[in-house]
Amino acid sequence: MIEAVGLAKRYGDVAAVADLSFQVGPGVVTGFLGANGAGKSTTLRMLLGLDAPTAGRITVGGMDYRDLADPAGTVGALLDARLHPRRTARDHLRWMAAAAGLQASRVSEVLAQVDMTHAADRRGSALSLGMRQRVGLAGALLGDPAVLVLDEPLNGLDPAGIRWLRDLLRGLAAEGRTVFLSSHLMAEMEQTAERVVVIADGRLVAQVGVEELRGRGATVLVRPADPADVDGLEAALRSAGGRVEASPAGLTVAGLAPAEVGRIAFAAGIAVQELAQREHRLEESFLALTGGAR
Amino acid sequence: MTALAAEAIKFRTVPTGPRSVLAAAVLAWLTAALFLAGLPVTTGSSLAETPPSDLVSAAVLGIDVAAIVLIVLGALVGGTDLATGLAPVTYSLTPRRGKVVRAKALVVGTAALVAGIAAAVGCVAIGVLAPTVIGAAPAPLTAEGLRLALGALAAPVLYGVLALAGAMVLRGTGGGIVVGLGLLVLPTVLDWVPGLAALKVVLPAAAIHGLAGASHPGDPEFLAAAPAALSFAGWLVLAVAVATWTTGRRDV
Repeated sequence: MIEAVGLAKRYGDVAAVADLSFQVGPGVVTGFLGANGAGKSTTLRMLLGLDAPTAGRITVGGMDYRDLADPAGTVGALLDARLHPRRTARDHLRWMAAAAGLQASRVSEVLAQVDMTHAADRRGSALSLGMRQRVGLAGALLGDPAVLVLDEPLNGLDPAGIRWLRDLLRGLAAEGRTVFLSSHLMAEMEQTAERVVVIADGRLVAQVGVEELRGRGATVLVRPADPADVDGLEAALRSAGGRVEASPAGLTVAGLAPAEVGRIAFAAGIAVQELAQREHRLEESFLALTGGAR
Repeated sequence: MTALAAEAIKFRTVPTGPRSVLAAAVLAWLTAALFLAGLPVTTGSSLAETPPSDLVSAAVLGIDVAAIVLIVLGALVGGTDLATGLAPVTYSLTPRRGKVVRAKALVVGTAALVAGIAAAVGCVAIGVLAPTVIGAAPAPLTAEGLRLALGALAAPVLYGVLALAGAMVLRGTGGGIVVGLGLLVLPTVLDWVPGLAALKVVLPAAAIHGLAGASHPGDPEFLAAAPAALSFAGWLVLAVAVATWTTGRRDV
């Protein structure tokens, strides 16, 4: 379990993270959504004890990362897919395994797990971004950790790689692990994560299931049978609290359920030709929630 | 031990590390040979006429070149994690950052010792065998010459660790090189400024010269062997302590 309570980080006058509280539980893949500069990476760095919070706490299993007896065996992290350009992937993982107090034989196992055995002896400079992501993921998996923290792990992966990673993360979550990943690729996050933590300007915007988040952004399209009734229906919907946008296709209504829209039209004596729910993509819901804030 | 094992693997698995150790020794030997080749010109005496202790002491100057190479290597070890973006990985695997600093210092110190021993053995051999080039008998290795060579070993170790600490404190390889070279040339600079030569006794060079027996009572930098050993250890501890303190206090 990852828990942030009143977490804040300031760099001079700039508040990168402000009073951020959330929980990430085991057994599901949890996405960490936010625009560039929203504070996602800063939050993850504080989680890993790399940056000190200005206020608040972020803990793993109730403990500060720096106080964990076996950090690599508890949390596997991929923050940035970096390797020394002159060191091979295998040697990169060898020093990581040594730092984690693990047997060198574990290196071959994780290389196979991320399908990188064939390129294990290539130097960092000869690996593509997607390959470096896989090596970074192998590093995160070295300690067979209960918690995985991944910052933009989908970057650089081709479609097959993204599908592979999606299946891998879901499989790891299904084993009861806590999987927390940030990404700006909403469409992929939509297919990978079951829950999301959404932040904007360093503050929590929502902590919900992906389905619920999509539902929050859902709209209803309604078209009166008689075009002359458009104004009347719009007024009735607005007075019921709906946010209405008129277009040639009809009225797009946010904030009211389809059944409610139907009842309002019926009560106003307006015949309806079309009434349909338009489910938003995660990206649209995200933008609606954050209002375009960073 | 895990941090030390990790840093040792890091050092071995990038060609720059082992090659620098080799380069330090080879450059020391070449410098020793160069100094001895120029000795008849600078002193007006042939190698056969030059006192044996002077031959060895001239050759041992080659170890200073090894120290310069180790300054660059120490700074590289201290700055590479930041330069390659691997610092977050290093410190997330070893959250107690002092362990990383101490491990890096041990790796650099060991590499410097290996380079220094190779350099010293070669330089002393070059000094002892130099007269044979002109058909004279080898110069005998005196106790004084042996102490000079053994004491000079401290230079690559101390300056390498100082450069490492400088790179970690100043967050860059360049900073480490400036710190290492700066401390190496500082005694010369102090000689130029009236009244400041007395400060030389607290510098790393005084510790090294004291260990090597290269300074004498009356010299501004003179330290006997025991105080020199204490000063040597003190500089090492200070360098690691300052690097640990600064690395532990700030964000990675």
